[in-house]
Amino acid sequence: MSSKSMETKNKMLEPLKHIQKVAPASDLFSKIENRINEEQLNKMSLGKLMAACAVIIILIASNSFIINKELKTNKSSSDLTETFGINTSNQLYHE
Amino acid sequence: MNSNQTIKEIYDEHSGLVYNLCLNYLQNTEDAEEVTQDVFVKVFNKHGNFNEQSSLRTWIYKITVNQCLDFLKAKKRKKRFGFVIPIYDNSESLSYSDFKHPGVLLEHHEATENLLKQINELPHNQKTALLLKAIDELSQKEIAVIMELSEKAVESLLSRAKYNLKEKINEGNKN
Repeated sequence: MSSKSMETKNKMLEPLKHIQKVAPASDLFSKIENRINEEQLNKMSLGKLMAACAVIIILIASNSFIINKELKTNKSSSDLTETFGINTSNQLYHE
Repeated sequence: MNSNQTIKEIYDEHSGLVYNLCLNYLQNTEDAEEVTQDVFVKVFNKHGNFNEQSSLRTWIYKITVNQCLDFLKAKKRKKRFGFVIPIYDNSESLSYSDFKHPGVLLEHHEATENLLKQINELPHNQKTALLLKAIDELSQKEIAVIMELSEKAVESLLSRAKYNLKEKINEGNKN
């Protein structure tokens, strides 16, 4: 690249040298602090929500396990009544 | 990052750098303020991931550039679904053309803002390299670290950016 062309290109960028540094708004830091605090609160409530979900899942799982177990025992008792011809109707005399 | 260094100290030291880069990159005061907030929230949340190999300043520059790019992408996406934006929402109407850079004196307004507008039309990587070089006066080495490129790649980006900018300015002068 020729030095003349370089010079032209650098001259072209000269207006950018007039840009002065600007200070951000004075309340910007407090806004950032608020956002950080909010995010931490959200994180904490997310943790609580996850713990609650875990408790609910454990409750549902243990309930379904107990119900399943209960159904199995019920089934085996009905099998017994059928095998031994046990009357379960409380009706002792047939018409 | 020193563990004793509080977010306030980091903010005091780097807020000017972050805000001015956002301002030059986004060319909108409100957007620059919003992205500056995002940058410091991210710095606070991710300071554990910061490795001392690069300087804190470079790391903050990197986050700022990435946040600006993400913001512009999100804005573009929002514009694509512009029909859902209510007609009374004038936030989108504050485009680059309405932007008055607060860091430019009145007598230089026209020339500087025209140039910024042209820079804004460059591809993102060329724009980033040019802004970091011409306004923030960073070395090619620093720009290479921030943009995660080789120094050669930065040099070529800068050269292409200047060439494209010259073409745009010539086109503008013809019209």
